[in-house]
Amino acid sequence: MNRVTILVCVVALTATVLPAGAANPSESRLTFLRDVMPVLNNTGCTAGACHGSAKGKNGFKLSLRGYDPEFDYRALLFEVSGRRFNRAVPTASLMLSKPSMQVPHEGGLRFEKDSDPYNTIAKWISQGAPFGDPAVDGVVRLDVEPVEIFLDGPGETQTLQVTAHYGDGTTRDVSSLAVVESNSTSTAHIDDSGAVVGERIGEAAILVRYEGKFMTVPMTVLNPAPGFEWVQRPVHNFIDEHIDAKLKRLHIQPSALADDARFVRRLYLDLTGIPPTPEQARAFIEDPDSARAKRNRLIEELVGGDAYVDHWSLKWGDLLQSNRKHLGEKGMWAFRQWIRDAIAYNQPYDEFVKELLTSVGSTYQAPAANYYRVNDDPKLAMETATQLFLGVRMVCAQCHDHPFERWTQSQYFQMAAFFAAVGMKPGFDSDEQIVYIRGDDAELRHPKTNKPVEPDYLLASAGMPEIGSLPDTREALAVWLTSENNPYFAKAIVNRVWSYFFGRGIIEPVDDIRSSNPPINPALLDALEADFIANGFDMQHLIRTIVESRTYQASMETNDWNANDEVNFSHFRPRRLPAESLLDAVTIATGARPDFPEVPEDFSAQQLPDPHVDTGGFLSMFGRPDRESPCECERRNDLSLPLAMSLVNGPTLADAIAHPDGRIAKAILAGRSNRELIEELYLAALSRMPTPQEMDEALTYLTSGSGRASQSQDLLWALVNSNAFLFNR
Amino acid sequence: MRICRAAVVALATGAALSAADTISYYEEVRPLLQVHCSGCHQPANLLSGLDITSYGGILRGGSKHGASIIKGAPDRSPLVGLVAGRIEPRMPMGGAALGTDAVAVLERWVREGAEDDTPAEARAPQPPAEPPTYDQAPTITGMAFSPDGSLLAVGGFKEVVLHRLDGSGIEARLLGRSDKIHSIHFSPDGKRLVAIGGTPAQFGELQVWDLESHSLERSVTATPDTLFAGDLSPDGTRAVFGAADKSVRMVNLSSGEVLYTAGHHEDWVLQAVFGVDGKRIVSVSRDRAAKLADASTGAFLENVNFLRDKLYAIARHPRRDYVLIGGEDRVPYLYTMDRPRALKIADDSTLVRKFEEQDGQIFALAFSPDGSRLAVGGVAGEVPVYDSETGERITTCQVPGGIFVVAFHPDGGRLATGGFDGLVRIFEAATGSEVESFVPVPVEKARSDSDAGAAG
Repeated sequence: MNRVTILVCVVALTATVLPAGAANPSESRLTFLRDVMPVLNNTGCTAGACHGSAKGKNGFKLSLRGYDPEFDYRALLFEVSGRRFNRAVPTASLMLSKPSMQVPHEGGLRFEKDSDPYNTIAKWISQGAPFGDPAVDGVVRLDVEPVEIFLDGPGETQTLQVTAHYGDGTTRDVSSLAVVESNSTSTAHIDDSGAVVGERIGEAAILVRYEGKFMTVPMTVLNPAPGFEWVQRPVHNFIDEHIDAKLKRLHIQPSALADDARFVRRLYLDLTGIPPTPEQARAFIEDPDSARAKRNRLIEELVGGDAYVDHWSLKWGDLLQSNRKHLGEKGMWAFRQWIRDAIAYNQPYDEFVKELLTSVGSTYQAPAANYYRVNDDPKLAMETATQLFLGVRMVCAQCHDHPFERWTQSQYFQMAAFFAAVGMKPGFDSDEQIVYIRGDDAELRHPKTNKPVEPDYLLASAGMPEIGSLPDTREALAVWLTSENNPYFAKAIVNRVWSYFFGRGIIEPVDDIRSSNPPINPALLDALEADFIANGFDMQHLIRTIVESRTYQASMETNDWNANDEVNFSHFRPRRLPAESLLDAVTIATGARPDFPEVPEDFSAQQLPDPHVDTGGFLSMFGRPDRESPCECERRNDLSLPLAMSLVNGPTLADAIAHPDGRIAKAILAGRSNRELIEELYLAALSRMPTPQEMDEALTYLTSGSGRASQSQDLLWALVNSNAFLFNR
Repeated sequence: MRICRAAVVALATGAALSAADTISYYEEVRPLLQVHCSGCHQPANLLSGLDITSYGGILRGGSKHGASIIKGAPDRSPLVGLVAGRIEPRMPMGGAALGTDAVAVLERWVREGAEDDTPAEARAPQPPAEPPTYDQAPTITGMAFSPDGSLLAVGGFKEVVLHRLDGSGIEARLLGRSDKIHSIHFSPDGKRLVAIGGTPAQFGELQVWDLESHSLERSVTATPDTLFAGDLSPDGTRAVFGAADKSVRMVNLSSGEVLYTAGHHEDWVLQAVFGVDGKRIVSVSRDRAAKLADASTGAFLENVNFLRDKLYAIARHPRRDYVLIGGEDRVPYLYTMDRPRALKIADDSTLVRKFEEQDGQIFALAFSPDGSRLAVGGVAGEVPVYDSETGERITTCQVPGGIFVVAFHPDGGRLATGGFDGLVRIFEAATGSEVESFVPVPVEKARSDSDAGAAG
């Protein structure tokens, strides 16, 4: 027989170009991209618990949920000399005999012999196992019908129609292949047929995924109870308009305004971190002016004041991880002062961020440079900048393309490459560091190709500057990042600031903005963002706008129509006081300052420079962040039993209440009547007057038992251990 | 995720309809156990020591309950009790319970005496009676030149094809049981050919062929998966190879006896080679190690290399105890088998030379017959040829990506490559220019739907 030299189904294949298959695939021409990859994803081969796990299974690894089809193609067709497929006899391929359990497969039966998935793969191998052309066989987008789901009540269902659009303009109904998930299964779950089933009144985002593309469909389970009638509450500004528009649609009735006593405590705590003194609380409550007028006046007075600077500097100290552990003691104090100046002068937020990102020089003389002492590696600097300033979490993409986002591993390294030239060297002073731009060897290599990566923006936006020549490309990055055209920058900060006043963001978590985690009220977020940009990235304006809204000033008391709502800001949600505020509230209530080492003796907890300073471990126990990460999640706001017991029995509180220079001791020495003393204690602990009944009971208590001082201490101790004290409500 | 669980129903329904006959082990029981039980109770896994994929394995049973069945007594048969849930834990463990119909099939089979009605032809895979026909070129995994340079042996599907290099066509097609051949070796005298391979996830086989009669002298089966690439001892009496059971095995080619099974690797062993004098062997594995062992006992001596990434290929210098290794990290490394000074942990003093990083993982390595040059194949769309002494690239052979084997002709002038696309390509080793390329097996007139593929 003569040597056979005919060309059969042989297709060009190089490291970067995989076989494309036929030029114009019809339904009968199968490609890996279009036909086989969906089977691997849909039958669970690429699942995280199976071959998609980081180490694969039994020596065979696929990319997680098939995010990297080229990798998967090589794994199936190239590894171990192509052991997993057999072009001579396609049905003898291991990639068919294993999942159909013709041979033992630990992962069990994924599909049967001669089933659709089986036949698809067999046919594809018989056609030469082409990869396909990403421009033709790749999914360009998904269409999901309906675009928004309203279920009339729990138990109602909705099926989804999912259409994939390919690069060549063709479409395919992939309703049965797409993966459908709910981000809140207690609100709506997905049944075996892929239909959305309402569980309880509320909202969820339905995520539909197919071949690396996804769509998010907002879903609402309406309250089916009859008799809803909208009662219009006052509208203070545009925030309330957007909140009301949504609540009306969902049949949720917002709560009425909180009373003045609740408001004054809430506003002081949220703007300054410290509750009002008894005098401040009494003055506000007794002010005869209209609620609206005197509230706005108090807002004007507090925003930008000294206590405001203390409190917001503390927050930014957390976020920027100002910590002597990283910066040294002197560097930390310098960084703290730099932050305080920016807050005090109300530096526009875009300039503030730009200054941090482009900082160079001595960590003592140019304190913004401490930012790079904390983020001393290009990858860390990039992860921090994107999470903190854009609300985007890139960390997944370091190892693989983000499973639920468009961010790729290449983008991770392109963004990190902006920071590749940042270097640090010792300065003249002890522990001083100089941040500088390295001239040479300033490159970052891609782990897959091992080639240097050129910096590039995460996404294109209008007016973005040319990245320019190496080495220092941070200037361009800072301009792009802080631009009003950057779709993440302003959004991330208004959402983050919002969360400080409501306990949750419009997008939650605040630093995880992605299309599969949609805002609960997109119109509100857009309006806040636009207002913030229109006012020149003015943080004080943003904060004033939020606290002036009726939405912020609403009562925590609910009605029949909003009792179940936890996410639409229809009523105030009580929040446990953060550690520093709790300690400062104890100081106000008891009139006794705690002892902080190494700082001036009149420092409040808000003014403390870093986690190094504490008093008896109180702050750390109550969840003060260690400043080791830029994540909001570092601060704990839980109230567990050990915390409660510590408060009840702990020395911090007991010592403060019984302090010889404390509020009770002073009042008794000053000869206050029991009635005056009780009023003062209520105002100091809870920022309100006692009710007549409370007054009667307290009077009885003070005149019984073992003496006035000790009885008063018991009363204060009880007040400070009540929810009204522990919570901002 | 929705997983189809209709198999049980289909099988059980079939069984119910054939109620008049006795239950067939081969047709009914075996497929049921295969689908539901074989993931864990198979030769490569053997949970509780049980292999349920063979009739013998069922009779032997596992370490916990003894024999899986007692013929005629389903109530006392652990197999039936476990799937029915009468014995805890119910099997399949963690999976959906078998339907009552499926359990009934097992019960009835045991009650009826649990006979093995496996047809003779199904008991062990046989070589095909006729040469296989192909409508697509099979992937090339094993390939070798004969010592006199007259033949090129190429592995196909259940066969090794011997090509005459004078262009006069195919000398012989050696038909065997194994679907895949991972490496082919001629004995130094050219009288024997050894093919190492098997059928994935079923069995491994080493075939010894007499090249005068073109007949199979011996077939040695080992492990429940294919055997991977190996080497012959310099005197041609023994073969060494790696396997999916993490072992390195040595076989006496005259007797077929497995001389030892060395278990010092921690993952699949993808290739093994002898040292120049045949007294030592080196094997490479996905465990990242190139391990040096005593060839007569298999006793582990030391790691040749500094562990970096998974290793897929090894080639030994023809005249010195140098080995070239490569794999996942794309870099070919040349190591000496003789450590210049005392072993230290994480020591890399045996490294002779690092070669250029390739554009993809390395699957195939070869030295020229005089050892002066070496070739590297793998995922990348090229097979570079390097000077062994200087590390410089001499020339580059253009190939499509996915090369699984490279081999120098004994005269050193030519180089053959084979891989994913199924074409043998022969290059001038000095210039990298392609001499010819051909599909090594006869391919039938392609079907209509394959024609379009040729356009790609």
